[in-house]
Amino acid sequence: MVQRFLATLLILAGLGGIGYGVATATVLRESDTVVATATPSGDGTMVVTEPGVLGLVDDQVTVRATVPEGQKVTLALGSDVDVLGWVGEDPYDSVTGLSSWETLSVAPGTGLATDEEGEEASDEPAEKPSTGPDPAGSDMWITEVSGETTVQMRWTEQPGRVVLLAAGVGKGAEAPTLELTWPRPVATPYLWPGVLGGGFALILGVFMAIGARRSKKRGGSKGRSPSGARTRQPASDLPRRDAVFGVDGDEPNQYPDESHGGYPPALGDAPDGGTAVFPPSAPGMPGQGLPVQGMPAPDDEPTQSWGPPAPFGGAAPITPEPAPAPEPVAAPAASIRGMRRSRRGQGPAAAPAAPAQAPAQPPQFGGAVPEHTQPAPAPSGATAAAQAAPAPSGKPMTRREMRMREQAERRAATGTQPAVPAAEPEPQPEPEQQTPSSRAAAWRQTWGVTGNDDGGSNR
Amino acid sequence: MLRSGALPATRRAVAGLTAVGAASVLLAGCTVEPPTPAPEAPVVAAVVSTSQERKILDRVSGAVQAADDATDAGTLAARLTGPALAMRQAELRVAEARGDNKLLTDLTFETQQVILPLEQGWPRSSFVITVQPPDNATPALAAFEQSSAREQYKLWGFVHLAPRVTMPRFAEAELGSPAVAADDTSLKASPQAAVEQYASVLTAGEDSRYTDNFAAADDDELRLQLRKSGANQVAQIEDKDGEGSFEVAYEPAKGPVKAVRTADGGAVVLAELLSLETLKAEEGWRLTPATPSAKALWGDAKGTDVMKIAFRNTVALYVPPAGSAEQIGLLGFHRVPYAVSNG
Repeated sequence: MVQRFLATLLILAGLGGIGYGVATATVLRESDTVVATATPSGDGTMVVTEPGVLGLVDDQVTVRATVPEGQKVTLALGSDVDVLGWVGEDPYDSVTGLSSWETLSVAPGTGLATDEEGEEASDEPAEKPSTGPDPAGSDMWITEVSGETTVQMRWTEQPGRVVLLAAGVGKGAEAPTLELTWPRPVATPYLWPGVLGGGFALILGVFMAIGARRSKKRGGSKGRSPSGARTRQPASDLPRRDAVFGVDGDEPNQYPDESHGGYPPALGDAPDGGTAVFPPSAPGMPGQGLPVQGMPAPDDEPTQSWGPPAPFGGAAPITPEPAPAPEPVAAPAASIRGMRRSRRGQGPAAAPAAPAQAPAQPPQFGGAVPEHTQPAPAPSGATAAAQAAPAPSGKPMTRREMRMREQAERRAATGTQPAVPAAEPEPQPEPEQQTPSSRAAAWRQTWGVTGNDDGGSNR
Repeated sequence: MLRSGALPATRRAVAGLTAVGAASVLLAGCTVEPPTPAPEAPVVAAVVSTSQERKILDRVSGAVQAADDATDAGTLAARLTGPALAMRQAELRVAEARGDNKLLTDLTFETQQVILPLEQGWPRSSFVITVQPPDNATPALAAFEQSSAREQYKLWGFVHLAPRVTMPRFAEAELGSPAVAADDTSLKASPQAAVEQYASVLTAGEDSRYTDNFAAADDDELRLQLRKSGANQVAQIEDKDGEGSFEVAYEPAKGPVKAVRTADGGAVVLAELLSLETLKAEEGWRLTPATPSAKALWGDAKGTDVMKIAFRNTVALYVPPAGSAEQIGLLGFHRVPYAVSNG
């Protein structure tokens, strides 16, 4: 119950996380620009930004000044000293910064006024001059623009104390309304954490749910009637094993070619995993396999070189001595390229020259390197080797037992008769425990079986 | 296998939930405050940039050119002021009288050095030294002034540098050079005093009591020229068995002087001087000017035994810092006749 609850929670949290992550990058994403507006207080005809305001959010700023329809407005950029010097004692509004992301804070400007003049300034210039002076054309401006009603200007912040002077010009002029627009790099910091974290939680939750379900089933299998799923479970697990071990009598017949392909990898695995189930099958299969293999081989190119290395896959490096081997060059290459490639090339290659294939076999055993040097061992040798394989591990029996049990279980399940004790499944090796090579073998089984005939050919 | 994985999974789930919870708490508390302005600290540097200065020079040149083309001094006031305006107007009068612009001083400012103002207030003055012009003339030193913030920069004065003169060094353009007050006391003589003393020296020559403050007359191009010009004119009279005399009188103009600090603590001073050259001959002589510009002003007037030509002069002096062993020296000058008289 707890597991199910947790699973549900995880799934919900995962979905929520993904949704939130995506949302922060889409609907919840902040705007690419910051647009802030300064509304003048009404005193004076000029608005001046304080140093640093233009580059407040980004170096790139677009300035827009608007005055009542038909009036003239001028925007000028200059150093703060120049601008305030130009403004002189006229009243003006000072833009001091952002009070919010949408609003510029505006304060009556204090100007450069010196002490005494400041006093005067506070009295007299409070009255708005009837005519707005026009700063346009001054030598001091770095850049300027004039126009009617609305003017716009772009500016890339530069070192220095550059400020903006916006002036309503002419009779009855009013201070313009300023709008500063900055681009803003909008980060979506929650997108990937949300999606990945959510995905993780989701997957975890799903697995948990499955686990919960399974364990429940298993619990059921102990005492109660098996559910339909039950049959499914072993089926999903077994096919793989069947392929790997190829023990079942029917299987080889069903897929004669494939079964052979399957063995070699299995052999390779055997040593690692210790689950050398192969031996039994090997003796039986050789006979069948050989003839079949010989047939397809002919059309394939004689790229035996791939053959030897391929089977080992990762084992190749272990065989430094085999230098004398027929195709020394090819071997390393194959090992480097990786199994997939070697496998591909190998399948066909193996067939044409049975003897050549022989070396391939050793690798399957891992430590069997020396065999590399014996190109000719011929099928007989190979079979011998194959037979030897079982010896290394004494476990085959248990495995077999397990398999038998599984089969029994399966049959029991189908027959609605829970004959197998519940504890049984546990000993089964976890798929995760597979070694890389065994995993590769499984992969081969699943996808590449068709091509891999060397095992058969050897035999 | 599932069971074996279940415990860690549970733990992971709990951890995951905790993480999600923490993230949402973080998110909730995360409202980005708008930044506050972080202006650069004010620096002591030139208040005019080199590029601005270039713009100013071009604008001034353009205005001068426009006035030249129209031979109209009326529009000059927009970009010229002080001695430069008066002298350019005089030059234009000469040009008008002559019917051509050949005698007009070239006022395109191709600079080899700019000296930019350091003052944040007004007036502000900048100076430029032009490159050597192609016509064998010497480079010019021009002074510009912005008298108030809402005024434009205007050409205030210009001189041609004297041959063989070595300009003092100035601060880097970007750093700005401070202006020097007319009554500055850190110099061998205040700019105002230096100009007055120089006028005295020009007028009285070796007899001036300030003559020791100044470089030797042989090193002073203006005095050399005056001496030569006077001697020539007198010689011409004497060639014809006459007897003549040549006098020069200098006085500082009423306008302010302009001075800028040099790297060694001295100053370069620009000032306008008015001068009157009087050539006298015996009665019955008819004297007419020989120089093209004075000739143009003279026109068809009848000559008498007295010829007076009034000049506007702009002079540039180097005034060394107080205590220096150096003497005040002339850097350059420019003179334009603005009036002639036969009596």
